[in-house]
Amino acid sequence: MRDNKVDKLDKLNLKADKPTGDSIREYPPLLKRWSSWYGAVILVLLLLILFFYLFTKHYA
Amino acid sequence: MSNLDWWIMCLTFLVIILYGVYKSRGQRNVDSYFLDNKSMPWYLILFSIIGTQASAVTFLSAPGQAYTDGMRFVQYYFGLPIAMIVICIAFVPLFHRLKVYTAYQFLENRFDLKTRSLTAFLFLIQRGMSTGISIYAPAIIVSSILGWNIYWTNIFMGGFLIIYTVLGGTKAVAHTQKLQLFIIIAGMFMAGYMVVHLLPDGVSFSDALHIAGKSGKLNVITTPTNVQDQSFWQDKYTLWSGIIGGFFLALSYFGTDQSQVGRYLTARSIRESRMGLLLNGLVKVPMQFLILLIGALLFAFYQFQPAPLSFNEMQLHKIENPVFNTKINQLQQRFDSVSQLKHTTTLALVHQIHGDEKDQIEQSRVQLTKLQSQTDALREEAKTVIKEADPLADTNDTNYIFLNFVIHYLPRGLIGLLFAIIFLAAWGSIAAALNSLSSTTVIDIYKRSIKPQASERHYLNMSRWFTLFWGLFCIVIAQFANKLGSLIEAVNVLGSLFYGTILGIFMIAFFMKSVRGAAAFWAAILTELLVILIYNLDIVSFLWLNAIGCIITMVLGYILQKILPTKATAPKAIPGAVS
Repeated sequence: MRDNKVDKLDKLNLKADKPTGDSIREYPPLLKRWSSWYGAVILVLLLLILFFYLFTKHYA
Repeated sequence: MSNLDWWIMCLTFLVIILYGVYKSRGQRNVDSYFLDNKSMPWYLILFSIIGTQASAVTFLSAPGQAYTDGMRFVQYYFGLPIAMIVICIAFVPLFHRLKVYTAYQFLENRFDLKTRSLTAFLFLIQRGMSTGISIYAPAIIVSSILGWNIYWTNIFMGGFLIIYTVLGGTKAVAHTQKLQLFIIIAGMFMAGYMVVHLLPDGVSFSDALHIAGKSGKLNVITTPTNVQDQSFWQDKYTLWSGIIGGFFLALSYFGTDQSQVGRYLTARSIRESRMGLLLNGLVKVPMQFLILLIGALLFAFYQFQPAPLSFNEMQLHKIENPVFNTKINQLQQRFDSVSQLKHTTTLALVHQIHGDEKDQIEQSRVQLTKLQSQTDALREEAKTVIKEADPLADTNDTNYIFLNFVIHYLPRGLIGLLFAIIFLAAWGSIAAALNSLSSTTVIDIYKRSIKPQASERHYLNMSRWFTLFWGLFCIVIAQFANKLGSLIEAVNVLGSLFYGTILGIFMIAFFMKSVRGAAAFWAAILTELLVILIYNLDIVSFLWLNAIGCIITMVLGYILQKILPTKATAPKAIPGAVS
């Protein structure tokens, strides 16, 4: 009964990072958590936009 | 081109083809052919994702785009890193856990067969047509500059890659993309270096940036603020349309287009898929910035060197009528004298920058802007004359700017390498497209609905035959593309018309668990009609259509689920999934 419930959740609720099965071993390299990687990507994007803004201003 | 250029070009092609064939060994079933037994590390996923997205036109258009319109095109990619994060969180774990070959398999599990088949069919039509055009688009430019026959150039552009794509499937595609990307990056760096190296004595890289910047070509960030102004919504490349529209476009492309999904499905684990995608999010924007920077530097270069009246010089040479020839010659004389003035003013500007003479710098900047307007106006007049002489002529020469520089100013050997790069960039994206067209045909149509109970060997053979079929289909489309003038634009618009709706279906599947198949299916149909209506009314630029299509599909799906009668459906197993 419980298995059925989990199966249904798997297919309909679709929790992306549910720590079951293989995904529990999917640690990211270098940083401890995937959320740190996501934060790093956003941070780099923001820094790039800031750099581009200053680049545009400086050479205009 | 010299003999040395020919040797370098042919040698580059031979190395890629032989390497692809060498990597083709060991294909025993559909699993190895389409997924490489899920064995690829993150760096191959990264190269494959970049190689698939960056087509030949990317390397031809981007420098020309920066030359004519400035570098603001880079904003188009600002939504991409955010999309990579969403795909890593929502799409990747699910696709891996369900062990699917294609993104569309998942839709049957979540909704029903008709939604899966409809989405797969739309993908096949759209991707098949656009791949044909992505053969034709660079082929027409190369054939025009080198004077080659367009039909043979099409076959060259789209034909040789079929050898290793048919034999080796995904594995050969990914490994050749890795090698291609190394050659492309090295060649583009050399081209960028040569632009700076060929500047006059006393004019440095920094001076070139100042010249481009003062002429408005380093407008990387543009931030219109008046939402009520029509141009806010119709301007294609702004910070806002780049982040919001670019996000939805990238989410659709990387999350639902099998040519990209097929790349990260081959990863050996969720971790490798995620790392490939996240690193793509990190490198794509700087990479595009550097390609555009070559175009901005080219602009500075042509302030010192005489630029042609049209960068597609073949169009000028084609004019035979003496009346139009006289007009062109007169325009050329006026263009040359304005160019001479630009040369003098730019040199003065460089000296003023060195001496930090602020007032004089501003005066020179205003003077240069006026002269630039005059040369732009003369170029427009030349286009009008070309059009009068040949009403079928393509007068947009943006895509010819970079190769025109290559052929006239680069040393022997490097010209061959740069032309080889155009072909390799085309091969990388076309090979991935053929592989995805074949996987969708075999898994979502043939194995699911036509012949479900056959041997692995049979499906492997059919996968190879379908890869060959789609390769030939795309070459045929390319051969007829010259008769369908506006098709290039039409196919680009077609992508934007459908991506939003397809993404909306996937968003419902992921995040709106109460919405079932019938509601999603009809929401998609209604949204598609609405998106086409909005496009025809020309209310917004095409980039916004992705966001609009996605949001309307989700809202309509929710409403229709409340209206339509519901019937209980048990979750189904996915036919054709890897067991």
